Formats: sequence, structure tokens, C-alpha cells
Amino acid sequence: MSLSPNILGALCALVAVASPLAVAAPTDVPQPGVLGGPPGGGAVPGEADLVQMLKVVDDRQANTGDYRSIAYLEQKEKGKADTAFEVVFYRRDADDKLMILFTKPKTEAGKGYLRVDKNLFLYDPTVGKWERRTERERIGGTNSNRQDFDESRLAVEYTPKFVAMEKLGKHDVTHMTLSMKEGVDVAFPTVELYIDKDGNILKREDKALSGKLLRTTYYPKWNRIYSESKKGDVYIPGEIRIFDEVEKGNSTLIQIRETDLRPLDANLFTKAWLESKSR
Amino acid sequence: MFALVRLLVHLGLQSLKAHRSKTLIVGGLMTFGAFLVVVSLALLESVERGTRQSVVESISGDIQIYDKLAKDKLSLFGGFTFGTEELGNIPSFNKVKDAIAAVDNVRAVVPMGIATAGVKSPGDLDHALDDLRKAVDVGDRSQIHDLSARVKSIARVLLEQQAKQAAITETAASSESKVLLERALSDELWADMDRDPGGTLDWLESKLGPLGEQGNQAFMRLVGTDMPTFEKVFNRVRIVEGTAVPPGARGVLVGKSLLDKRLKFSVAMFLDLVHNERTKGETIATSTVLKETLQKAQRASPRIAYLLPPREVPAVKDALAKELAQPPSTELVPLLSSFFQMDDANFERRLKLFYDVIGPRIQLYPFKVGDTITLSSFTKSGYLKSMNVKVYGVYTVQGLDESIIAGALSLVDLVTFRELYGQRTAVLDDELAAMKKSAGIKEVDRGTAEADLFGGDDDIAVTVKTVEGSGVGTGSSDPVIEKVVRDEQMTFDQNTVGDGLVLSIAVMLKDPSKLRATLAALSKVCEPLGLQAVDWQQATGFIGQITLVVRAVLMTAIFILFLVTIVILNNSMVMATLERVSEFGTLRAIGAQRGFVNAMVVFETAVLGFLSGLFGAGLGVAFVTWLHGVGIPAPADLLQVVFGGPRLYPTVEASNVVAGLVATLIVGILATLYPARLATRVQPVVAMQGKD
Repeated sequence: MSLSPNILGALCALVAVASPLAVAAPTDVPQPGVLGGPPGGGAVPGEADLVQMLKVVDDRQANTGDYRSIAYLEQKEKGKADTAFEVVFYRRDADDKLMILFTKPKTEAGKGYLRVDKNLFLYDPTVGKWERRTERERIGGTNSNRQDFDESRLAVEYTPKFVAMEKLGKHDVTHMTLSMKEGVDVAFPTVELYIDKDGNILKREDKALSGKLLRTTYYPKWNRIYSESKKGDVYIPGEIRIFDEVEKGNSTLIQIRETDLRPLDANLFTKAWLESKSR
Repeated sequence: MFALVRLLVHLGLQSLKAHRSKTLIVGGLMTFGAFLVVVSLALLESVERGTRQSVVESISGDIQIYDKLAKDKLSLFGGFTFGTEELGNIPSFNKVKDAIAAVDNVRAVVPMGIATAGVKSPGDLDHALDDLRKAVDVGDRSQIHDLSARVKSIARVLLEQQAKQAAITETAASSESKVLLERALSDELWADMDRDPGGTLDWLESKLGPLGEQGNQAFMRLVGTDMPTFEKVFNRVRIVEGTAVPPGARGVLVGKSLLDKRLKFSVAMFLDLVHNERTKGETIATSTVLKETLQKAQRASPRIAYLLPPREVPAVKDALAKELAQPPSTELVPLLSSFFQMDDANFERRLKLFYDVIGPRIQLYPFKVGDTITLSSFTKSGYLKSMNVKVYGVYTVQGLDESIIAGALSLVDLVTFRELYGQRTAVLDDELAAMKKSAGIKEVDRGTAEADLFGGDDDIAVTVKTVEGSGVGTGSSDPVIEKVVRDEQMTFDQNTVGDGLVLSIAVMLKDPSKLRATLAALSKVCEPLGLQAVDWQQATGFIGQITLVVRAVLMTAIFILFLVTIVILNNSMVMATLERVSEFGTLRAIGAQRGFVNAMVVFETAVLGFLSGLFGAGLGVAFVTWLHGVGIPAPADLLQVVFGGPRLYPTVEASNVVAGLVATLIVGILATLYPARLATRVQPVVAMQGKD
């Protein structure tokens, strides 16, 4: 418990989008441009087509190796002063491990999260303690929880339904509604997804079971990086803007930069490593 | 003149004697009024004294001073927006201290600040694993052995629970849990513990750990203060365990009732609750609540099995088996379950056995005196701050040992408070501004977000970056973090305590009876400093307001009663006057002037009022004296604070008696003015003719 919960929610969202794990073989990965629109010259796509689109979305973000990136996070809460953080992300998708190290501001430097399997631990160097963040916890009352830390598995977790071809700004997007599959445990039972013709998610609306809109997320920038381990490109959002639809006026901005896909130190994803950064 | 008064009194007494029924009715009403005034005022003043003792001498002082621009009103015990008050701040205590202390009648000034902080307790399994890792780190084999046994005990209980759940419905997740729990109980795993403790601990923390119960978080309302000064000034605060916080040390004093009634081991709390209710006359046999409470204790009892150190288990098993007349070989969990099947016949015996045998062998509280706890708070800067603080002692407020309200506040040193309060600083603002500038982020309004983000001429900015090389990525670009030396944070320079921010200042007076005058003087001093001064009733929120509300209600009730009394008296007197027309006519005929008749009627009531008032006040004094002897019980916690203890022992003051007499006389005279006027209008001739 050592940083603003909404910022943590933003981190969760970031990882949810940029966290690849279930990796299809490179040959199975559809290439950019395959989502040129509904098949059949404007005919309504069937479920199989939509599932294929989701697989493209998932696979484009998937990586098999390590990941390191710097992120700037800015949190706006109504009636409160803005807060911001700079963090370094380390991820090893093969082991489902994640480390988030806070570097700025100075008061937050040294704090960090370590995810190992389904465990999320938080470390605060000021007190020298680790704390388990539970899987089902609504962290700090925000709309993020353990689910946000999972890899993008839209095709596995949701059943898509075509809504319409729409315009988002000047971009043509496929709007589909995703409904949670039976027996799958996800944070948001319904998601409205807007995907451009290349398979980039541009907008996502997370809804409660009742249909109430909880948050809207925009992905206005994506980066494409070649992964040696994947032998292909990995797509990572460059900017994410999350707007809280329940607490109007609250929003989070995430900027990701300096992504590096080279292998990381073998001992990085340990409590000892994170503790050593500030000890 | 004296002869005239004597004559009027004599005539009044004669008249009262002659009109007994009227005298009884009117006198009865006046007696009741006087009784009510005396008793009400005595109770009210006693309550005010009680409340004052509860709060003024334990936390608030007579007067509190805080920022004039505060958005919320100061409420030391928390208002309806618990823990979220915006009280502004006093940037430097030292800069205003002398000006306040110089005001006449000020005995002491104490800096204060309020913050709400959470104290987290990990779940039992995480707790055991944390301790096990510490034991492994220092190579304490004895501890490793004990803690390994504790982890296995917990895993065993979890496996039993899993089996029960699986009997109802088995899922993939529960099957997976079973495999993990069985491995956690296997000899193979614990053999690995000897060979590779780090790897085994990693497995236990990541695989077994999530199966344990979640930890808890308790919230504490902290009063940050200069501890040495506080302890000198607030003499109703008594440390019942541990010591005072030494000067210059980070430390906290926790209220005993908070520990006993909020933080204690749940099974013990349930038993305490049943015990308390039974002492008030409740029985388990007739109370559904008590039965349910005991059922909760029974359900929570398996925790005892793994909280007990393994070497202590045989002694507990023996004691329980003896109590339950079962063989000592019975497993502990079933023994505990049977033990907590309590009724009125065995409750007290088993309660004693619990505290004699089990209590000393497990940790009944999440922390104990001497422990270092971690307090976490969302600061005013927007960031969460956690601090390690040593628990130096446990306190009670004298006379309010059992009150959860009185013990709800935890006292912490001022430096720790400032960290947890976390005022936003210019340095932080500058740093954030630099970070934002470096990121080059453009502001986007929610209402126009889609147009701003996707309506431009550019395509979605999918940029391509190719990373060269394949070296290890944590080399020279690895972030450098400033090192944290936690031990140095546990002390501070006591001389600097007054230099920093506080939220309020408690002022204790030499003579509390001069509260209003001192408050006015302090307000004058505070005004140019940008501060405001309020009395303890305002500063303590709903608790202080209670006495004001009680006073308002009582005064309104007395006012209405006297209003009704005036009307009834007036009617009675009018009727009596009309019955005595011939008497007044005769008096007038033999030379009595109108003024004499008027005075005679008023005096008659005044005499009655005086006698009734005296009698009523006497009854009131007797009643309050009786109440003082037996005490008025405070069944609710809030009433304990208001009463200043578990019972209110009211006392009556001479001023209460005088007030009763004066009020009765005034009411009597007011009610007589109109009938007296009627009496003066009686024409002797008409009266002698026998006409009304």
C-alpha cells in the first residue's frame, strides 16, 4: 500500500493491455491490415470472424521474451491535486512475472510491485515490508483488480458480437460488444471494443453486469517493436488515457517510452532484487 | 410598610387556608415546577461536568485554536465525515505559541494534528511465511522448526476446509488447491526446505500463500502531539501498559478499549461480548444474539490450532480434553469445536479456562507493547505514506476505561503525524511539473477527448522501433534509487518539534469558569494570526454538541411546562377571584384601595409560590441526592463519555435551588397579574348586592 490507488489502477490497465503471454506461433499471427473491415464487402461479420479479430489483437501484443519500459503516469482526481509517477516496468512473460519499480517522485522512489504467478506483492522501502495484494481485491476502491494484471486474452475470455462499423474521430473502427464467457473470471463482464483496421484497440468501454459504464479507455498511440525472441513485431501502446465514468472528473494518463525487449537479468524478478534497489 | 407586608402575608395565608382545593392544585403545580427546575439543572450541570472531564482533560483542552480558513469544523472525535475534515493548517506552532500562551488565564498550550491511518495485519498464513523467511534469513533453526510446523498446521486446516467444500462442489480451482495443499504437507517439500530454503519459501509464498485468508486493516484516528507536553497537561490519560513515548522518539500510545473491542483476536472478542452481556443479566439460553456470537466464536476457533506454537499444543489439548471429558488423543480442532459449544452452565468456567490456558499461548492482539507497527495514510499531497512506529504503551482515560469512544484516538508523536498528514510541498510540485514537462503530455478534456485524440490529420501513430543487440537489459540504464536507512527514521530532535506544522492547538485554562472571557480574549489574539478559537464543546464534534442539545431540549421542556403552568394557574386564579367577589367588594367597601387588593392577590400567590418552590426544591434536592447515591447507569458507550464514566453521580448546587425558587415565584406572579387586576375592578356596591 504505497501509492495512489487510481494510479495503481492505471498500472493495472497498462499491464492488461501491454501484457502478452498466450503466444501463438509466429506463423499463426495475422499480419497488420487483415482487419480491413467486415468480410464480404460490408456484410455483418460472423462470430468466427470477430473471434479471429480478437486473436489478432491478442497476438499482436504477445511477446515471448523479456520486456522493460519506462512509464509516466499522471492521475487527476476531482477536488485533489494531481499526482504523477515515473516507473520502470520489467516483465518476463514466459514465467508470468512482472516487476514495477517506482523511480519518481523522490518520495515514491524505491517502492515496487512484484507479480509472481497469481500473487501481487507490494514493497515499501520506508517500512521495509512486503504486502500481498489479493487477487480479488478492488484496489483502493478503484475499478481495477487482479484481473487487470493478466495478459490480453480477449479471444479466450469473451464472446464477441458485432455492433457496427463506426467512425472514431476520423478513423474507421469495428465496434463489437464482448460478453464474458461462462465460467471465466474477469473484472468486467461486458466490454465495448473499438478496433481499427490494423487491429489496434483505439477505445474500450468497461461495463458492469448491469450495463453501467464504469470506465472508458483510449489508446491514441501504439508502438511497434521488433522482438528477437518472438521473431516478429510486438505492439505496445504508447499512450493510454483512462476516464473514470463513475467518479466523473477522475482520469489517468499513461505514457510508455524507452521499451526494450532484450533479455533481463535472471534474478530480477525477486523480492531481494527490489529490496536491494533502496537498501 | 413592614406592617403592611405582614398583613398581606397573613391575609395570604388565611386565604390559602380558606381555599384549600385551589391551594392544593396551584401549589402542586408550582411544587412540580420547582422540583423539575432543580433536578433538570442539577442533571444538566452534572452532565456538562462529566462530559467536560471526559474530553477537556483527556484530549481537547478547554479551548481549541485552528485555521480560520478551515473548510470543515474541528471535530476531535470525528464528525459525520469521519477522518476527512479539511482543517487548514498552522504552518508553525512556535510562531503562534507565545502569543496564545500570553493571554490571561491560559495555563498550557499543546500542539495537535489529526490524521487517519491504517494498520495492516497480514493473514495468518502470510504472517507465518513472513516470520519463516526472517527465521531462514538469520538461520534460527528453532524458529524455523516452529514456524514450519505452523505453516503445516494452517495448510492442514485449509485442506480440511477444501475437502468440505469439494464434498459440495468441486471445481478445477479447488482441485488445484488440493494438490498444492497436499504438497505443502508433504515430507518432500520440507526436505527441500533444508536443501533450498529460498526456493522452498518462494514456492510457499507464491503457491500456498494465495490459499490463505486475507489480512485485515484496522483504521486508527491519530492525534499527533508533542508527547511530553501532552502527558503533563492531560492528566486523565493514564498509561496502563508500557511507558510514555520518550522525547525525540517515534511512538504511539494506543487506547485500551480500541485494542480490546476492535483489534483483539476475534474468538476472544466474541467471548468478552457474551461475558459482558451476561453480567448485565442476559442469558445464552434466551438470547439469540449471544447464541449467534458463540457460534461465530466456534467457527473461528480452528485458527487457534495454528496460532498455537506446536510445543504448546499438548498442554492445551490436555486441558480441553479434561474439560470435555474426552480422551487426550482427540485432535485439537474437534476439541476446540466442542469446547466452544457453550451454555449458561459452563460459560464462565470455560471463559476462565480460555484465558488461563489458551490466551497466554497465542497472540491475542495484532501487536503488543514494544512492537513496531506500520501506519499508512493517504497524505494531503495525494500520495500514500507508510511509517514504522513503535508502540510504547496502552492508555485509558480515567473513569472511561471501557469506552470505545474515549479510547478511539491513538496518540502519536508530532513528527510521525506530519509525515502521515503529508502536506504538499513546493519541492514536490516543482518535481511533478518537471516530470510532466519532460513527458511532453498534452491536456485532453473528457468532453472532447475523442475529437482531440482521433480527429486530427495524423493516422494512429503506430511507430516502429527496432532494438539492436541482445545483451542483458538491466545494465547501466538501471534506475538508481536513493537508499533508505530506516533505523535513522525512528528518532528525531525533540527541540525541532515546535517548528513545524500543526492543525490545532489545545489551550488549557487556569480557571475553567472564566471560559467565555478567555475565549473572547483568545479570539482577539487569533484574529490577526488567521486563526479561530472555539470552546471544547464545539471542538469535540457530536460529543460536545450532545450537552448543548440536552440543554436545549431540557430548557425547551421547562419553558413549555411553565407556559402551561401559567395558563393553568391563571385560570385557577381567575376562578378563585370570581368566587371571592363579595370578599373583595367588602374589603373595598371598608376602605381597601385597589392597590391593596392587587397586592393582596399577588402576595397570596407569592406566598404560595415561595412555599411550593421551597417544598419542590427540597424534593428536588432530595431526589438528586438519592441519584448521587445510587448513580445513573450509562448503558451506551456514548453516554459513558457524556456522563464522564459508567455512571453519572449528579450533585445539586445552591444556584439550582435558587433558580427553582425564582422560576416558581416568577411564574406564580405572572399567572396572578390578570386575576389581580380583575379583583381590583370589583365594585363594592355590586359585590354587596351579591352580583358577580
